[in-house]
Amino acid sequence: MTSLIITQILNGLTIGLIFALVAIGLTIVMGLMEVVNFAHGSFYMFGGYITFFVFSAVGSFWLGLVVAPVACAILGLGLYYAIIRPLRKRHPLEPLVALVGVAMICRQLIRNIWGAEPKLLPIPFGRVQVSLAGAEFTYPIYFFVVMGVGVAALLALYLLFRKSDVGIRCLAAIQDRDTAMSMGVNVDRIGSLMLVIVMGVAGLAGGLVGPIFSVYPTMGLELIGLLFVIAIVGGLGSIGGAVIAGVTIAMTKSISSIFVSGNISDILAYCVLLAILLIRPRGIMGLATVME
Amino acid sequence: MSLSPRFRLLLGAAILVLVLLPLLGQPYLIYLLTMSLIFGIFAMAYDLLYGFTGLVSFGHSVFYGLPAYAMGMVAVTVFKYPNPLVMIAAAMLTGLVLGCLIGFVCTFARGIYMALVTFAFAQIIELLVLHDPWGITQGENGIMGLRAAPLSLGGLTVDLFSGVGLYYLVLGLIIASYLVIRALVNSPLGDVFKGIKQNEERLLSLGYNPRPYKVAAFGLSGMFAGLAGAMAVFLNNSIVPSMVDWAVGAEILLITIMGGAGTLIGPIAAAFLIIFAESYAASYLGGGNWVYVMGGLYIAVVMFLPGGIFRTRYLKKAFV
Repeated sequence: MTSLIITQILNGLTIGLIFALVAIGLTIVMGLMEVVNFAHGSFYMFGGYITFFVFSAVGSFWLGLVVAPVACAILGLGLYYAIIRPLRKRHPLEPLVALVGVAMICRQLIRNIWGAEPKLLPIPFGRVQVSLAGAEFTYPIYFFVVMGVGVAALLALYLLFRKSDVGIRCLAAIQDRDTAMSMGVNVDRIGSLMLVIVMGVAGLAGGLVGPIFSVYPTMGLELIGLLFVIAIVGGLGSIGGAVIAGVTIAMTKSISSIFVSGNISDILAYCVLLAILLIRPRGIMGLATVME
Repeated sequence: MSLSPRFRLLLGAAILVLVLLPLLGQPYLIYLLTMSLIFGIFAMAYDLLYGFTGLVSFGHSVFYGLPAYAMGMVAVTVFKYPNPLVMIAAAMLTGLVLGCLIGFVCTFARGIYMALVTFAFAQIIELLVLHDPWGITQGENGIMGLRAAPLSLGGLTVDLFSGVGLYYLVLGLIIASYLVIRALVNSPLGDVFKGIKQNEERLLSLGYNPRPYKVAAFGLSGMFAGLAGAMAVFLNNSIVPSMVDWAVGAEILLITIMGGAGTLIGPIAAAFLIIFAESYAASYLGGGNWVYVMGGLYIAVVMFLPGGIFRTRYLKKAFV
């Protein structure tokens, strides 16, 4: 029992970090540009499929993990200039409609190219013997690698937003766009840069989960609701909040799934979210007052 | 919002066409028209909340699907009393009560945070319906065989609940709903709704507490959405979990924005556009490729018709 609980905690941590990594992109785009990027999940899916494509063509999963973020970043720039930039002066929900269209097209495109069946990437490395808190069990090494990559990427994002000039400008614009603009922050240019970065991160996350969940055409759309919840519960524009929210949700789901069936554990996860939002109506670490 | 004489004429002509169309005698066309009208009622309900009061709900599937399940409780699973009028009344009452309850809880938060609370409710309710802990919803199978007996009025039997009869019933209901909602948004209560959308702080300083009005907007919107759900039950003769799928709520949000939020007529037009485009694209393009058409349509409408179909410059100049 102890080993089962520890395994589920480790699973929750791994998946929570992945959720957080993708949700941060959503929260930054939402905070900075007031755009609810429904196509965000599609880039997560693209990341998974590009990794799969490189793996099946060249045979190297790790090369795929490098190619996927780069390709997704370029596609993200395309999305910015095609959809988000032309619609930036509209009511925030109008771009949402167009982005739903983009997400639908992306899903069907993938289905036409690779088919509807899930594609499983082989899990790299074997399992390792773990003895923790008196429990002995084996755990896949790859999950630890995912945690490591996830933490490294989160750290990189944190440094970007706390130490670099462009990151600080971006945070300032999220906090109060009008004031930031009047101080000379070019929101459009930062927006395009941020879209490149967060789409790359989403692509990386999609590649990382390939060996865990396999890749399939609805993987993005399935996740987008949950990502949206994590992004907002964490607080718009907050990396720490997204990590706390993502890990909390994943943990709630994975630990409660030991005791109750899958549906009930999902219900519990959403109840936790409701409770958080009712106690802190602007999210765990919300600093933005946008979109109120 | 006042309509010009020219627009009234167009509206009258549209209603006349809708009245005459069943004469063509194509059952599938009647089905699609009925579905469009049902979504038209649903879209107007959403427009009352979003277009006039400025409250975004990502969980409107709840107010469409749960009233349908309430009908199922009345007719099949719990009370076994399949009286059509009681069923419709139960659906509308459920929509109203649910709207007030969910509206009460989620208006603690504001803006996008409030929208998220509605979304969480929609998820929880969808999962509960699928899991069926109390044996009411029959899980993934749904509830079948609900089309009620013909309505009897003083010795006269009218088959209102299948085919053409249902179509005319829904046509009558959408006109009635339009008139009621229009009267509502033009009333003093409607002015408060619009005030919440335009400037909530100003409303506060005028001595209004916006919360009860927001709850009322949710309740009224839920009631009309429940009416739409009830009609969908009669049309499809079944209640399935996909009625509480959050995608239904998302679709009605898209329809309302595409049509032009705050115009009532626009969302109805968009409902027709989406239902017909979806059905015809699906029948001509196999293998799910109709999704390209729908995705393209969503993008094109937003790109080229700012503010929705009803707010295009031509329509504005000609009619409103």
